[in-house]
Amino acid sequence: MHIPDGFVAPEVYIPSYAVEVLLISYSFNKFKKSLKEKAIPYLASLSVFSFILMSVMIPIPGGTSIHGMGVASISILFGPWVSFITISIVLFLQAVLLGEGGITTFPINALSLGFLGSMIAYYSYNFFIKFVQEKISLFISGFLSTILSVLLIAIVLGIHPILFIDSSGKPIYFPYGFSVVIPAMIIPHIIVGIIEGILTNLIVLNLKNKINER
Amino acid sequence: MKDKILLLIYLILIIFISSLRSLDILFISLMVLFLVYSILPLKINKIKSVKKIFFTVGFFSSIITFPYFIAGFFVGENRWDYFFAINLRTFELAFLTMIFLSKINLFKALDFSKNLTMLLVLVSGFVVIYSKTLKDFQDAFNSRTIEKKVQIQELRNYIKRVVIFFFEKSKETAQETYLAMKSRGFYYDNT
Repeated sequence: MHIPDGFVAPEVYIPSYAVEVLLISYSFNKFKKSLKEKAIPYLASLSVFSFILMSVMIPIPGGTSIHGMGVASISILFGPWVSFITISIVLFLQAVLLGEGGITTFPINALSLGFLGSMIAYYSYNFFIKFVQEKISLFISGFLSTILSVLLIAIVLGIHPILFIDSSGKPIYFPYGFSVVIPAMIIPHIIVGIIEGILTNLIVLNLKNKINER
Repeated sequence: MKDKILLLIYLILIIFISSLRSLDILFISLMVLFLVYSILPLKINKIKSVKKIFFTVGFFSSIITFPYFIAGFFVGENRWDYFFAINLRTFELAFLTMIFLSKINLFKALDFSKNLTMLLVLVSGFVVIYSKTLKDFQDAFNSRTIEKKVQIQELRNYIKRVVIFFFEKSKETAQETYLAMKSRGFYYDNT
């Protein structure tokens, strides 16, 4: 999911930065109002916790391993807006300090994984829990948040060869249209979505009581 | 102030380079960047850093562009100009980021908001400490499961231990940081 810089047009990433900054300001003020002086230390420690959840590796057959994203767990446990801020902070630091993901692709990753992923996870969990067992609802929310976040990234990339072409009709930025990029991104992420669903289950069920103790 | 100006120049250059379409201009701007890079005193191993960028960016970029380039042969389209232009742009942007990030103090550059700076300083500091602890957990788990198949129950227990440990640690860290900030007179300025 780490798209390098250079594949996204400024006409896409500049407005995305504007939306990201607006949403971050809104969510940060919301959080600061409720926690006041404790806002910064709590956001910092939750961001690091999100970073850890994003780094937990699950061994899979063949000697390799895969990591989840932790977005659904953080969203269900602490709320979608907190999840959005913490995931955005982690993605930003990964882009500027660790060189993972680009500086121009950061707002697209943050809006899809952090914002859309968190909202989908939170609201789908609260919707499905009315009809199915909590375990199933957690799995669905983890799976859906992953797949729909990736779908948004695929759509953003897929519009590039339609909107940004040179005089000879060749793409300038990302080259593949929807018919290629959507299956190419969604199919491998089905495994990631399943892992995320299982992780969401494990994390939320183990931490729910501990959070209520606070 | 110096860091803020550098950050502004960096952002302008990012937009400029990502807007470039001509192969010639991309090539010339890359040469200029190389020249600046070789002259500027940077606290990094220059050759090692260029190699790292070349291989990392080259790998990820090629995954996307190489199949597109090859597919061009089957549809009778010459796509080499696209292939070179996009890879030059990607390499240039990564290169520019490396140069500027080694010259800018990011925390000073972003200190128009005290809250944001404080948050970034805290998170980046904790990330280093927590990552080391997570690595210890992973090494311990790997050493226990080195010559056998990982059992589902073992994996569940491992994840459970990691999650609870780091959650408790985060809670403690948040409280300790809050007290430390308070004792050092940290005030909110609503920025």
